[in-house]
Amino acid sequence: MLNDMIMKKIYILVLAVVLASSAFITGCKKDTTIAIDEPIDYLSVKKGKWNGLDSLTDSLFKNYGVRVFYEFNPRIIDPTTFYVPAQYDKAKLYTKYVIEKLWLEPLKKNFPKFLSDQKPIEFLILGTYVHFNSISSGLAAGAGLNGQFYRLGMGGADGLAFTKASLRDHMCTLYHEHAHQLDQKFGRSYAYDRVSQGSYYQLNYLTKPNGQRRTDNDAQIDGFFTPYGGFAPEEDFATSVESMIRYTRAEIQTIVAKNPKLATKYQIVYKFYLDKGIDLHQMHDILDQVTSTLPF
Amino acid sequence: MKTIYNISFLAVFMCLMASCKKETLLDGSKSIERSNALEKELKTQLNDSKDGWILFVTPLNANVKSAMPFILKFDTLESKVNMTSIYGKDVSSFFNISAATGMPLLTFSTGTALSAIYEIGSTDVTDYFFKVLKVTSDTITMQPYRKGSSSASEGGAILKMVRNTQPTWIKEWQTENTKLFDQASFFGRYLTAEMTFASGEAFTPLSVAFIKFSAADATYLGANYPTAINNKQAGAMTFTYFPTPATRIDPLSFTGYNSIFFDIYAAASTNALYGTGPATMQRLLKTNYFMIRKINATSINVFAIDKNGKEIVTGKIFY
Repeated sequence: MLNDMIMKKIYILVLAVVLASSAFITGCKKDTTIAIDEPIDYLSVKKGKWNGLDSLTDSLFKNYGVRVFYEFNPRIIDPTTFYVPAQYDKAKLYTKYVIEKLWLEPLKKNFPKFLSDQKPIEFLILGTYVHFNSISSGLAAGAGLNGQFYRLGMGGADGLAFTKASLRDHMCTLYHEHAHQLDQKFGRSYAYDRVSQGSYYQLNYLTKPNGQRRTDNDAQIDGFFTPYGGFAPEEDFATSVESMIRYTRAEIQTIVAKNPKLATKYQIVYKFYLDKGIDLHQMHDILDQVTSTLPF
Repeated sequence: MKTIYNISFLAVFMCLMASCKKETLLDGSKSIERSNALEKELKTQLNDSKDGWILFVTPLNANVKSAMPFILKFDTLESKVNMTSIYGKDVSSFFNISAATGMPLLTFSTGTALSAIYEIGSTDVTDYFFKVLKVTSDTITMQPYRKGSSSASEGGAILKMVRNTQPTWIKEWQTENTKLFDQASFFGRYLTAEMTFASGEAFTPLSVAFIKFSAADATYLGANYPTAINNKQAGAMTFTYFPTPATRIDPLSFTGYNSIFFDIYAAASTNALYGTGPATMQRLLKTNYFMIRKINATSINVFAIDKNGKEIVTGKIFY
């Protein structure tokens, strides 16, 4: 009984010491301020010495607010998209002449509102073309990356011939891809989709029912600028923009006169762009002029 | 009594746990430190090898026993890499070293033969950025970041890059100065290919021919075929094979730097020119390339090595 009492006292003493020390330890003032750990960047992008293209892309970012990427890392490439970087020399020529001279500079000079409101803040230069789901899916699965509001990517820089004609033609594709972006951003409208509803060729756009290859003229008579434009409304919209960059205003008037539906859609698209601050017919002429000054 | 005992035990236990230093367990910066140390070692070793490093790349086709060597010389100051392979000699491009999933990431950041064969899709190079796993003075072990398709798990085959100690096969390969593509006498005629395999397997001589493309087709391939795009050292041809005098298959092939290569283009693997044709040649020859040892008046001596640098196919193509 006595032993029990002593034991109990000892235990109470131990318990008191333990609780006190516990309170002391946990109650310690650990830090004068609450430390907030910096997030650890497991995919930090490290960059060695800058090369000429790094300086060029940096100056473009400062002048136009568009960051050009020519080299990639897991931060930039999402896991379901596969593409390869362009060769350095090609990427440099592409940045200088396609992105700066033919795209950003004329826009800033002539249609600054369109550039500031509608530019993609990131531009990717791809060596070959975009593959989706697997690097081995198709020889050329996509000309560009266009489904993202803030980023535009163009494929085929490695295979691009740096001649006046080839670069002028490439600008039509660039405006085509950018048109997809604007389409996604604003919507080409309910009215637009109703104009040729039911008459799209879908996957048979390249071949006529009689098995012959479908020409641009065939498609124009059917109410589309090109056979691919007859694939689906989204390509109809994008090829309209592409065509307005490719042909003069007079040529476009002749084309749209072939089918009243085409004329209606042309008016919608032309106004769509006009509302955003750019006259595509003027842009066509400007691009012709700027291309003529390129040093190739 | 027992309750008090239990409480006191728990309290002591709590004290012990509370006094543990947890940072070492939770501190992610350790991983960064580890990665940074490996990165430093990687840069040191890349820079230290005067003759560079040799990356051996193995094709996925199980019939192929050879591996393609890529001799890489890294300039860590300028972030430039000089690459010599069967696809081209002394081709300059850029690289950078970043970080990924707790280890350094070696990226061939502008277009190279490596990004081209990645796009061809028939080797264990399934990405052009590589996680660096281990660095020693004679071997750098690395792994492609992805496996080449979105449904596959992260990380491809383990690849070894070994220090270039100037093995004899490099000299054997780099001595010939004559360009095969310019030797008209070997093109457009029947040739015989004889092979000896280090494995001792028998080989029945093949009736073959090198046939050049039309200018338009050659231009098309030069603008579209990944290992040939802008590659002035690649010459497009078919490495035609005649199973019988009346039948032929025409696999796409190229002459490269002292080499002939015939890869399977995975995106067109069922096409005779790009896929099934080269696959047939790879099955017969047990390699997807030849390095040219010597071009004689009427014969070409060729060979291929495996991933250990051992010559495993020795051949003669002649008329």
